[in-house]
Amino acid sequence: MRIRRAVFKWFPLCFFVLFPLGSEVVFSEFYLSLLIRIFIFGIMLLGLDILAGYCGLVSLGHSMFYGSGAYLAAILLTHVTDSIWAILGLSILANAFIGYLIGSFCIRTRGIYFVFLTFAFAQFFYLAFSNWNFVGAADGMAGIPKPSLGIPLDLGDRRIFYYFTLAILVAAYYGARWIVKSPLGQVLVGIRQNEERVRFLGYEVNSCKRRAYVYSGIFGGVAGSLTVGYLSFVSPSVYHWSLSAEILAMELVGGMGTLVGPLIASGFVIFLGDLLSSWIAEAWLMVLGTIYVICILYSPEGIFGILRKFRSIKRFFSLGDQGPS
Amino acid sequence: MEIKDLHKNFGRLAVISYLNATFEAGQLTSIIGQNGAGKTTLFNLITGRFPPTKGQIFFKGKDITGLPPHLISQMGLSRSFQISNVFFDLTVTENIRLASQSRLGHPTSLFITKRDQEHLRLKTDQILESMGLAPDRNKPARHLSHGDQRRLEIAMTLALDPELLLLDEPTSGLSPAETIETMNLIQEISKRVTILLIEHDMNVVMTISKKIVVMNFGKKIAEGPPQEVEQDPEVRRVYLGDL
Repeated sequence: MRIRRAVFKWFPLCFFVLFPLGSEVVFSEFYLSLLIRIFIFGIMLLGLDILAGYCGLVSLGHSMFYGSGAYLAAILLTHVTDSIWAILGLSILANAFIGYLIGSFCIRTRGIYFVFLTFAFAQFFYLAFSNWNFVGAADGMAGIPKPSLGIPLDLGDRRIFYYFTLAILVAAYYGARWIVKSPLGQVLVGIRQNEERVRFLGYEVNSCKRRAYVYSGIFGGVAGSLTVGYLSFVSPSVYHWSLSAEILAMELVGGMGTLVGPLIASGFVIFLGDLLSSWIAEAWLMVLGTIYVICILYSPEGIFGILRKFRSIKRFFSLGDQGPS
Repeated sequence: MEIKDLHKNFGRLAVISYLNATFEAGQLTSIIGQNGAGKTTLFNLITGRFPPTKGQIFFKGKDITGLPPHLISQMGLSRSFQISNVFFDLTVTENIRLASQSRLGHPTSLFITKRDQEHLRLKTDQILESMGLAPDRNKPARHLSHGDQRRLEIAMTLALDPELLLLDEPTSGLSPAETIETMNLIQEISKRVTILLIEHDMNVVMTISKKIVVMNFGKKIAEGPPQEVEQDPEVRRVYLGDL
């Protein structure tokens, strides 16, 4: 039993670590890019899961953080520095600041009002950046220099970037797990379930919500910065609400408040999307829509809920709402 | 605890009108009255669920009128709810631990020391045992019987180390046997904690209360030791339905 658990725990990591070795031998390099995209979305989803899954604040404006991280990286790379560490550091700071500022407004509302307020703020950024000539207005910026690690490993190499993103994803996963298992994480779950009672237990609900918003924003910002580091291109579409909706759908399919679920969902949706769109072009969105509907109707816990039914997996992934006991 | 000229309007309806009362530390006071007498509203005003229209509330000599609920709770004033207001999807243990956690030095920190963790564990265990909830500790609160949910409700307020405990009809919906059990429990708690108890069945609180306050239509109509209140003609008329 212990061996089986160990396999479940280490198999995915080993697979992803060894994966690039097969690139250009077994399959085209394209799949490496696909995985990088999945990892970046995974980082963003971990953040969204803290906010939506654990705290119950469903945001339709998470692209605000992704976009800010992306534009910040683009501006820094073009005009200031190429150090990926400086970029990620500043991205964290800037998005924490934006999260605090805008979070202070948003968390005062709830339900549909929260959804629309976050949506409105993200669209504000979208319009502002679509019209700001310094960053290329609606055309965005292209040919952005590659970031560097500060050591003789070239992030321009797809494999190096793959490993770098994987490392950040693993770090982000443990970071998110730490947050949701901390005392704060327990309070967030309480807020999702019964905000009023949490208040009467003596917790300051608004400050907890704001912190959840800030932390989740940091993940989104890091994801955005990484995207620009990889693609060397940015356009206002990084701020567009459809991105927020897309990750929210992944969150639903994966299973809210489980961390692992949304990660699997990002892989599943992106991979499937790529596979199907090469066969049936735009029609693949219909397939995706059907999957969303089925998941929401029959498995409210998403893919994670289905996986949970297998005992061994359940035991390994039992991170859901349970804290340290 | 002192209440001065407390007044609350919902629209044009005065739910509490110019209420004055003092509740002394260390004793169990019951507030009784019929449905709609304003008992729960009084609790809501005291605990900051909504602000009073007029008047002041003092706790331990400090004016707590209009403070937000979490600050009032932190001062050592905790309440239970008439309709079980627990975290239904969390287990019994998690419910109590979340309550105890709020009394740590940094209740919403990202870090928790081994010592605090141990402290939480012991305290949670102790409350589970003393409230007789230990056998169901890993059940989600949703799956508890109604009686156990009522008990969990009280257990959570106890986990807050209150100085003043406001219990809002802890016996609502309980069987006569469970009611007696709960009353014994409350009597036990009242040896350590000041309790303010809402009840609409006067007989239930007769034996355990030091003092009884009778409310009717938002006004206090009588107060005093149980025997005295029972004989009060006004109380007999509006409350006991004198023949």
